[in-house]
Amino acid sequence: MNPAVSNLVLMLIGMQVSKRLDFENPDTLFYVRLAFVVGQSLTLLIYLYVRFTILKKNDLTTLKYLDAPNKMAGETESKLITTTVKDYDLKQIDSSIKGIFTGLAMTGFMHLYMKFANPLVMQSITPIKGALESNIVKIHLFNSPAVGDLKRPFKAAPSFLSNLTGGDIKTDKASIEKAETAGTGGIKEE
Amino acid sequence: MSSFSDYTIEEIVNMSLWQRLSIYNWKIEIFAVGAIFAYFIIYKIGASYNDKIANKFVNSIVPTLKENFYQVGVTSSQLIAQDDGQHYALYASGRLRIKSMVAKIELQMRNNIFMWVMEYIVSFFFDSIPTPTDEVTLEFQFDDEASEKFDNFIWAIVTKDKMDKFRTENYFLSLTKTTESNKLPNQFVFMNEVPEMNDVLFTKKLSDNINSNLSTLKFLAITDQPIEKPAKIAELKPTKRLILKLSLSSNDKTIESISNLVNYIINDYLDLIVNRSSFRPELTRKVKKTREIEYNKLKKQLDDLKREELNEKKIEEQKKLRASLTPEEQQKLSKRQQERKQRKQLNRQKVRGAM
Repeated sequence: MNPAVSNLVLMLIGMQVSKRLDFENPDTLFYVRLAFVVGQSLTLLIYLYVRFTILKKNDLTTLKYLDAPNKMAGETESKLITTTVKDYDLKQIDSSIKGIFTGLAMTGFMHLYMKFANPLVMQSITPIKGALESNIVKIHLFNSPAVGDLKRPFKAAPSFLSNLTGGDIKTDKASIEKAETAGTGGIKEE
Repeated sequence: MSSFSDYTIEEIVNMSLWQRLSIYNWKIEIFAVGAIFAYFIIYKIGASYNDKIANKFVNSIVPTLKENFYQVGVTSSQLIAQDDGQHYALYASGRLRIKSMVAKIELQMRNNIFMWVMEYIVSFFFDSIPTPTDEVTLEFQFDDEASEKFDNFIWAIVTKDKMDKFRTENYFLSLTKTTESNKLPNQFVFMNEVPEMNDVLFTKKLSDNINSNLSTLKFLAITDQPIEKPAKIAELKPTKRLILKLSLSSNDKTIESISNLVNYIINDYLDLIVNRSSFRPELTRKVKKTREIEYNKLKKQLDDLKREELNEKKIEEQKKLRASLTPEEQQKLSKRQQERKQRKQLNRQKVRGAM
């Protein structure tokens, strides 16, 4: 199933489930909290294991692509990224790990400060689902070959925001060759 | 332990200074002094460890420097200059073909443990803050006489690890093409303008030295273009230099392989570059073309800037002129300007009609 569709289905189910749960009951609250902590730790463990395999594989094949310009930051030209498969994978996994922490901070704020318990139910399942569906985990945990959708650099899933944030990643030879010697480096930052 | 609250005011007033001091609760003061002392010890340990790394590296290359250069050290009596607990610099000058050698050592902030830990944590969450490393950058600048003897070009061997960072930090590397080569160990790539230059510049001995510095060599670059992107035409003028970036550690074996590489470069490689890097015109054509393109880009940018400034000045002057006039005069002026505009339009129509 399409991850976007299954996410929607899961969200609806989650909402129904959390509607039926009695969060006033300390026992229920404890189990919901436990599920949340276990879910987050499991996600972190998956990512850390994948990070470990990336480091162990140490794939130093060179990878060149043109990153989409960030239109929100006022960039107009796409920037050439010269990296290795290992560095690319590490960047992906590190941003996923960062994502866990931001999610943790958000849910923590909602639960501890605003006293909502509903997000805990959703947040104990969606991160694991997201992790198992992410390209990088598919490659390193399930050993899927890096072809098709899993070919690096990964294409961003199309969304209504993509027009705002910029175009797509380019990998064709002509644009790479043009951007490679463009002299974009060494700009002094204030 | 007793405290002041156990006594009445009269009792305290009648006490001698010593008695008062002995019943005072010194807990906070002891803790504060202890914390300062502990911080000082940690600072000393960190700073001396940094000193050890810097000195080990410098001492390993000083004999070769003394053989090759007339002056070694920042002044005649002082060998290295230390800015703070983590930045060191070494200078040498007075060698045939070389104007100067500057080595900048940048170490981790071991002297300030809180900042050091913070840097590690923050660097994971923000891409703009680099992970702390121990590095040395050696820059050999060729003198004018030697510079005339060989061509302008950029040629570099760069480690693949974080190579994009080097390309964004160094203007000259962003003018080159990145290519893998089976001549090089798997950890490195060539970043050069013309691949044929590898045959001349990638010597057997250099290859051996790189093989023994797989994890320490960051990049070795020969360049005529600056590190920072030029903002003035004058900065585009080629200054030829060899830049060598290495990571440091206090490990004896690493220091030895690093110093072997540096020694080879100082003793043989610098002269080899000057003597052998004159290439066929077909090869340097591409190099010249890149510089021309960069010159035109910069010139256009500067011209645009100048035009904008001139326009702004004009508008401001007009505003000033208007402000100095009385209301009637202002009206007159705008009337006159409008008339002039109309006349111009009329003239244009006339010309068109005549045609």
